[in-house]
Amino acid sequence: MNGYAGNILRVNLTNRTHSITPLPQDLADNFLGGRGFVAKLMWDEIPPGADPFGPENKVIISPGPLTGVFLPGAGKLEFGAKSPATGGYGDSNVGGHISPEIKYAGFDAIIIEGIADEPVYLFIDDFNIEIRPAAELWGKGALESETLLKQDLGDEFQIATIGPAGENKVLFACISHDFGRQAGRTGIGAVMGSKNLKAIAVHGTKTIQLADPVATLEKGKEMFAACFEKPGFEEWTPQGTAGVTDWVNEIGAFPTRNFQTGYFPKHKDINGEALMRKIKVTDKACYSCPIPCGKYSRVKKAEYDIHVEGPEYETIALIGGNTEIDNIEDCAYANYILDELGLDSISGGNVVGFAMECFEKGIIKSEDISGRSLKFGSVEDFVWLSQEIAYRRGIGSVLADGVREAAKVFGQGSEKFAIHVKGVEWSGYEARYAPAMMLSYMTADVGAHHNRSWAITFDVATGRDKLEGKAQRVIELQHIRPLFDMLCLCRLQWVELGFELDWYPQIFKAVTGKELTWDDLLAFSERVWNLTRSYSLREIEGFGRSFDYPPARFMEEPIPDGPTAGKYMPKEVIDRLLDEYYKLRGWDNNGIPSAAQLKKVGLGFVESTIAPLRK
Amino acid sequence: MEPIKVSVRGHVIKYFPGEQERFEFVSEGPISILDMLKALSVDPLLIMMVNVNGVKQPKTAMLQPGDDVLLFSPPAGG
Ligand code: SF4
Repeated sequence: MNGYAGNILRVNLTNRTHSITPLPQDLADNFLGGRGFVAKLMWDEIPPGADPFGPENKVIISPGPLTGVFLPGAGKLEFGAKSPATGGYGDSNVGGHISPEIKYAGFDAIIIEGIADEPVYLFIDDFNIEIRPAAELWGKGALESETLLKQDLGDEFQIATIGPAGENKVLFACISHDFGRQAGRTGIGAVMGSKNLKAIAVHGTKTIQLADPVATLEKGKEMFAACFEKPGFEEWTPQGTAGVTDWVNEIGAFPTRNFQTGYFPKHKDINGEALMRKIKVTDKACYSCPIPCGKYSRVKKAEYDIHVEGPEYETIALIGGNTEIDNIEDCAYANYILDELGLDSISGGNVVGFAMECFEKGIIKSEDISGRSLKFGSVEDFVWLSQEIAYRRGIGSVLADGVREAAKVFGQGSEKFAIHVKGVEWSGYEARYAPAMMLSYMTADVGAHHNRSWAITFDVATGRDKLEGKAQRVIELQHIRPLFDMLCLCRLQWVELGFELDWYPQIFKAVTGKELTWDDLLAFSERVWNLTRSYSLREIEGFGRSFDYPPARFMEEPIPDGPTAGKYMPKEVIDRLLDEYYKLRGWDNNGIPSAAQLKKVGLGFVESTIAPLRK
Repeated sequence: MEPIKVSVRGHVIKYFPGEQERFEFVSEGPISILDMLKALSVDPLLIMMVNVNGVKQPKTAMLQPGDDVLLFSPPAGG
């Protein structure tokens, strides 16, 4: 099958067995790969009502049809599982070098099921598959574990690991790879931990069958050349995503003090220039990437000497602004601690910010935390609490379930400033004066994550008071951006350089032999968007419109200061956005896809499950 | 009058006239970057950074005929 490795690897950790079966043609034909395979395999294989931490949940890993081919950004990998954070659909994406390696080992998907009776890691060397003991790695940091496995197996192996947070089933535990890249969101690291699976080590030597090898090579060369010719190509790399920090403050959308406000006066001390000037060592790229956005940094102080990839923008926003850590060295140190513990730095900074506000308001008291304090701006408090969370000690055990669950325990109004959607913490854009961005967060299928639709420039360009056209644009982006996660390509070449989308059907044809337009490809993405919605509808009791609202803070509290002072988004505005969004999607007023919509997008098999949920 | 040579980087290209990533802007004389953007009906907040003749400049900086201007979109932040 052109473009595909042609096989699925299934590993049962309970029985310590594995099987290799051919990739079904209809799966490739209808769901492309990556996120598409994850969503379809989750629907088919994880029994309804499965416990996210039970043996019946599965970690599904998939590269895409363009992964490992010579073209810009062809090294992304999708992880999926029933999410312990949302209780429904969960996926997360990582770059680095492991995705092509899985393809070269011969696999388009790896399905990991069951629970091992002791800590193990999965060893894959082409078709030599072993479940190996990992007792010596258990308890070690994610970065340290990767180092140890590389020392043991050799640099040619690509490694994905979890840290102590995953082992202890923290609901925002991530999967770490390539010394600082993470599949961060929706708690799939915790699912790995629940399976006693510490790591996956992969090495592959096979080739990928291409429909037209010469055309693929030529098209790939043209794509690289086109990237290099883009205006601003040379300016992109030095700061990477950290370069956006000042701008987000300029538009009043920088999460600050647990999203109390949208402007951090000290943003110049944590921006891309501060990173370059003070801590950056070099750039770091994923497989086949011409625009290395990764920044490898070093911070040396009397107490520590650390290397860390980052901090990138999201980490700067959630550690820097959201907990008011006001210098880039301390942000990098906190970033390193989260990486080693195996905590998603977006949720990590959000949860710590929430706890700091609880402390400020007297909801968490000093006596609850052994007489110490939990203050905005304190990196010591940040690091201490992160460790308590990762090891589920004391109040850290409550916070380890994320802000939604912690607010249920703390009460006293804390649910109003628990900044999440669907149980996943909000990422780096305060959206009270950005309706399209707000709607993007509200309706993202994995909770409050920006990567499904990043629409804040659309808000600025088309008017931040206007609602017209916002839902339409969010839907367009929710098809474009996740399509990259189905093909398992990096989208930053398009987003950051303005690389034309027309290139992708051309290379897709050269690789797979299939002649599809960009709109044809988007139709696959719409299918998967409806499938992930259906999955959460199936799994979460009462799931629907009420799960698409933002936290009360954004609907009730005006932003106190900065460029967006006085702005908030009342519930009637939120409802107007949702009404329009559902209508355009072909969903009912409760956010449930209609039978006609399911049929239209090729999901007729879902209808019998969804029909009883419609009122 | 020699035109100002403008290049736009990244996703905000779609908000520029004709969605062009390179174009020339003719001004009768010196003009600020802010005023040039205004004349193009582009909200200056869409531009994260400006380089003029290879040097970073604030949006209030004045442009001269013949200048090379590079306008940067904000990166999508990870
Ligand atoms: S732009 Fe960044 S995330 Fe994308 S492939 Fe390159 S290094 Fe990886």
